Amino acid sequence: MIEADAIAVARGGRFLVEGASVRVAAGEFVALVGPNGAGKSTLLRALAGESDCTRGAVRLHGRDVRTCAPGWLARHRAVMAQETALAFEMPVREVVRLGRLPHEAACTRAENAAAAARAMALAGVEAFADRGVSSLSGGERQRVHLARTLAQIDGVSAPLLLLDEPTASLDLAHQREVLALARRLAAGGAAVVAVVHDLFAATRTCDRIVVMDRGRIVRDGSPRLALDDRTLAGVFAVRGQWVTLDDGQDALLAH
Amino acid sequence: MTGRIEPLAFALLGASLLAALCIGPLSLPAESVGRVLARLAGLPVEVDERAMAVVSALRLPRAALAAIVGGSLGAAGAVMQGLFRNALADPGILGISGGASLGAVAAIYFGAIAWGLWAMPAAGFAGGLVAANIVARLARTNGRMPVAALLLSGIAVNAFAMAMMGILIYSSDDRQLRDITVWLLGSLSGASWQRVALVAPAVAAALAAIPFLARGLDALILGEREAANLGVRVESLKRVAIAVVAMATGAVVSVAGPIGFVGLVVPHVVRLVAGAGHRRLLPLSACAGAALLVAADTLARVIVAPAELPVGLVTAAIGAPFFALLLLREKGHLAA
Repeated sequence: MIEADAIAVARGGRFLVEGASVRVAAGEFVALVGPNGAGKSTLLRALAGESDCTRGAVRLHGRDVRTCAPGWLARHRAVMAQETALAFEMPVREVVRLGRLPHEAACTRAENAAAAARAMALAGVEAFADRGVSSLSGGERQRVHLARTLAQIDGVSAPLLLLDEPTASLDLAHQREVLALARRLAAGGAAVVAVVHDLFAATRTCDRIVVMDRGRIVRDGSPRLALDDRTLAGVFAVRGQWVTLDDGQDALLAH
Repeated sequence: MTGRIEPLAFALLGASLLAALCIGPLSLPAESVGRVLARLAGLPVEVDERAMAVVSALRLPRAALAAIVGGSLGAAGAVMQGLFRNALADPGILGISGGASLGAVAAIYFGAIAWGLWAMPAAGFAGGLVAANIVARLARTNGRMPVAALLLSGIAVNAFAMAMMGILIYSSDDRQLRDITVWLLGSLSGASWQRVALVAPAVAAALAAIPFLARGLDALILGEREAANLGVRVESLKRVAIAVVAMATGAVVSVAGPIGFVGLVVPHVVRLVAGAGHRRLLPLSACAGAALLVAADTLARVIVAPAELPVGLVTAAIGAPFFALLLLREKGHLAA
């Protein structure tokens, strides 16, 4: 589905990402982890086709993201940025509807409204659908933008969903909900890549972990494999303890 | 309540147009104006010849020009605010008004107005387009035009145009000086069907492109990055928006002078009432801008009768306190 082949991204003469190769298939939920400045967001942007690679290429469904039409890209992948600031006040419902812009030519108004409504239900923002975004808390806003991102991939088969710290300002219950939602979307045929800082949450919900450090991908595999003791000590400067939760899932406690 | 705004805006425009046709040194009842309009539309009705002459030769072209100018400024302001993602942007921000003013002032200075009615509008229009072009070129780096660079180039071009204008004004003789000063205040007093015909093509072309901008400007509310992720070609959107605003603003400034506040206040107020979505904001700003300028021009004609005020003074005198009032109301939001 999405495939980065030895990509490098340079800004101002410095490599932010170098020699990164990663493939994510439909149905996979991959957590991108690493310390601050490791290049996680830069890699995510490169996968999204937002920033041009200095070397290497990113292919989505076999097409080079640099050369495919922005409209096609927008109908096959959605990106949730770390932060989105609205230029003008808008009600939540209309912000979520903006996610349907790429589908306006192909879908009717009613279909787009229905897609936006489904996305709002999934992200749990229906309760304040008619409120202005500026009146919401940081966590509520983040869920509004998640809803907008979900609206963009509603009805798309095998979409790519890129989430940059989707749980950053959420309370514990919503963090768990959002990651569980990402997992369900992957089960439904999406490829999901999320930047996550919380290793406990990442190991508990993701199929695969990609560890980045100083612009390079240093580990890529199942949670237990990717986050071994050496990686934890070398990359994160922490020690970890694996626990098995009562639902049978393994999760990492870092300390 | 939002559903009733469009009819209300049209009603306001209709009312202001009707008032513009009725009010003046020769006060005409609405019924008489209605008959004239019916006759102009080709219906066989009896009309008072004096009313016919006043409406068809004087008031109707002037009201039409006011509507075109106000509508263009309102819509252009809305486009600029959307593009710059800032409610303080206006059509003059890209140096277009400055360039157009310089062109028109140069036409007065070099006596080009003697060549014909078209000379000043042509010089103004050309000045506006040249200014927009310079701003766009100055701001371009690696095929992109960052809005901050556009803003700064606009300031530079505006300042240069002002300096050049200052030089021309300083070395003008008394008669030129008076012409220039009056023109710079912004006035519709020279309105005629010929002037309407001069600006109409540029304005029509610009307004025709506006519906195609609405989608991209909506996406831009989320930011350039998000807009690009939603499939919007942000750089072409900027180029088209600048071209549209340059055409519309250049054309109207060249016939009416730099009329302030319409392009700033109208989209701002419309956004408060109708929301930020550009599909409604752009046409409503055009409609409200037209209504406002027609009303302001009517006021300008009667307030110091038998003389008349430049309409730019009226819009600034109404617009500035109104804007200050808005600011006071919103200060809480701005601080937050």
